[in-house]
Amino acid sequence: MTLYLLQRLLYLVPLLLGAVTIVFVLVHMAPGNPVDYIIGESGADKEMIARLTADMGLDRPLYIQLLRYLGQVATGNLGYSFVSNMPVLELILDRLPATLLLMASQLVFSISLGVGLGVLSARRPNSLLDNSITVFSLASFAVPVFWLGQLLILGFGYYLDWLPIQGMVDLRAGYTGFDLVLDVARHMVLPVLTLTLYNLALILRLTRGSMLEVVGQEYVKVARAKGLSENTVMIKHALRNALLPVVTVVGLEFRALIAGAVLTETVFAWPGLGRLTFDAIHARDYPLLMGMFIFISVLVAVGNLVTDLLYALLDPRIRYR
Amino acid sequence: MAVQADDILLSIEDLHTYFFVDGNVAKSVRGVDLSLGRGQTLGLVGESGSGKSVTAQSILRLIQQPAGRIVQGRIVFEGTDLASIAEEEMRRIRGNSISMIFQEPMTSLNPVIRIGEQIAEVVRLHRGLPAREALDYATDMLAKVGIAEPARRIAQFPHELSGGMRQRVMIAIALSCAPRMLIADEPTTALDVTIQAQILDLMRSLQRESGISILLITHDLGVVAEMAHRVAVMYAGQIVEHADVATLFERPLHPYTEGLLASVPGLDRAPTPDRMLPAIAGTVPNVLDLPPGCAFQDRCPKVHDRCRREEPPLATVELRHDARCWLHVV
Ligand SMILES: Nc1ncnc2c1ncn2[C@@H]1O[C@H](COP(=O)(O)OP(=O)(O)OP(=O)(O)O)[C@@H](O)[C@H]1O
Ligand SMILES: [Mg+2]
Repeated sequence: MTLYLLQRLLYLVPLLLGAVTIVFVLVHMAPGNPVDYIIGESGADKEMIARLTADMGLDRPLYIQLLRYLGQVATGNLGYSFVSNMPVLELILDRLPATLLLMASQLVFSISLGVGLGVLSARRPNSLLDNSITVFSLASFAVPVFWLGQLLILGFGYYLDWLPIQGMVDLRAGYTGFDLVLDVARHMVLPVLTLTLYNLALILRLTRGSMLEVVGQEYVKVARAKGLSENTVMIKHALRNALLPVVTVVGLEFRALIAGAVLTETVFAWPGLGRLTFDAIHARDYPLLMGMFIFISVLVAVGNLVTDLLYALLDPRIRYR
Repeated sequence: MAVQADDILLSIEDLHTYFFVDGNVAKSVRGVDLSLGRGQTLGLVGESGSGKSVTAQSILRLIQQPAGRIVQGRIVFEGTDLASIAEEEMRRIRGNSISMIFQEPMTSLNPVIRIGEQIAEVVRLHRGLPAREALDYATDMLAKVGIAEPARRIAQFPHELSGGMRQRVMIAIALSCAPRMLIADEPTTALDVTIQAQILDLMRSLQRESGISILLITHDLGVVAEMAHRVAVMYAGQIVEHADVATLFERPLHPYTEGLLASVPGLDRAPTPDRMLPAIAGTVPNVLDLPPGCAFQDRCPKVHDRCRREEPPLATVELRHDARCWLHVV
């Protein structure tokens, strides 16, 4: 098991190297460049532009820039932001908790609600309850994240004025202690709701389909023939088997989860990595952008690894060596 | 070995189980009468689709919901009509007074739960044993059904066991609460010949020890000859003949039974695949759309006018020998 883990982590190195190279080239080839952004509308003379370009190392051939960057990353240094001049790693770590908070809460909600509603749906297929759940989940899945977010902002924030719609805390109020926690929780409601509604559908549909397949299996009939209650049959005997494909797909969809988080953070001005990425793209802040990319890649890889381990935990037939 | 009325453990009277699918009604079981004596084995034979499994699952009310339903009839077990008791009461009977084992040992154990737990959960449920003792009990049960190293096996998962061993585990599960009746739906069909013989031996010796009654569903007339005291032959959702095993093999009354027996070579030989129920010319009529009269009319060599008009009743032709055929209604 430990050996397997080490192996998986080792595989990460060439994978990341390849990915970083490709993204590096793509990012630098994209139209626009950071010098223009820094100088802005005000305009500057040719000399100044040349000096800035040289300062950032942007006058060198692309492959030299790439090699220098890789060498730097190998020593654990992600460089400095073109825009703020802060170390990239520090910028990222600074924003990480906000994003993790959002991601973790939305995962908890969408998995528990998705699995719960999926099981409920599968219990009586094609019943009124099942059909209502289906319609609801398809609708929430079909709606784009940013639009749903804006709809919620309009409804709950603007018209009803029940919930804050921007940011993570109310800075003006200067809350401390428990009040601060409450304030953050209030700010979290809409972004978490947006993300949950979006991700819930996939998990729900998967759970339902998987449950329907599993309840047709002979061992479920055997479980009933033992005299077990319907809840025990469904949860102990059926659900554990039905979760296997759900875990796999959710693991594979980890990237989409992150993409959804980026969009949602932008809509709600949530001070997390998503917002940071958005800003970095806008400013062509190459070091920050590359740093973000590496960070997200590692996050996805770790997510996939956790999925595999979870799978092995659920299914005794799988043993990693 | 005459069975007295008070020795009857289970009697099914006029059982009808239908499936309601897309506005159609599949009358899978239509008027089955059966009885099973204490300590006896009743063989239930018939072609694929004749309604054997549906009959068996009706007893434990395990018919697939919501399509399937027992529409009529009584299933009297030790004086209680199982067809009319509350679901909760039914659950106390399942796995406790009446157990069931299925055809596919490869799929009837839960792949993600340890063998020991799959046995232990039943005794915890029905006997109220605490966890530790239930697991010890499971170990004893495994030993009883002839599994070596039971203490090691209880910690294993189904995929670590062979097909024969899994069927032994299924038997251990079924017998763990000392039920009065075992329903075995083709328990050996999926196993190879030597393992088949071992499992049948095991069932017989367990029956000798405990006096359990067995409803044995099979395609294999050889298995019936070996295991059963009485036999019921099923056709298109009805019992067409019901007799002691020796009587049925010597003097079959229904043309369908005659056909079955005629095409079985040497029942005294070891079981071979071709001893399985043979194909009689023609096919089983569709339970969605039965002709008026006898269900066997289109395949029957002795068919006459009356068979096409009226449905024959299941009549007692001689002592303890019933048949559903106009030829034998006097
Ligand atoms: N869940 C169901 N929904 C609809 N029809 C069903 C269902 N289960 C069984 N039937 C129908 O009931 C009839 C009898 O099926 P059953 O499984 O009892 O046959 P069987 O005698 O056990 O056959 P086999 O020897 O193949 O096991 C079949 O025609 C089948 O199509
Ligand atoms: Mg069957």
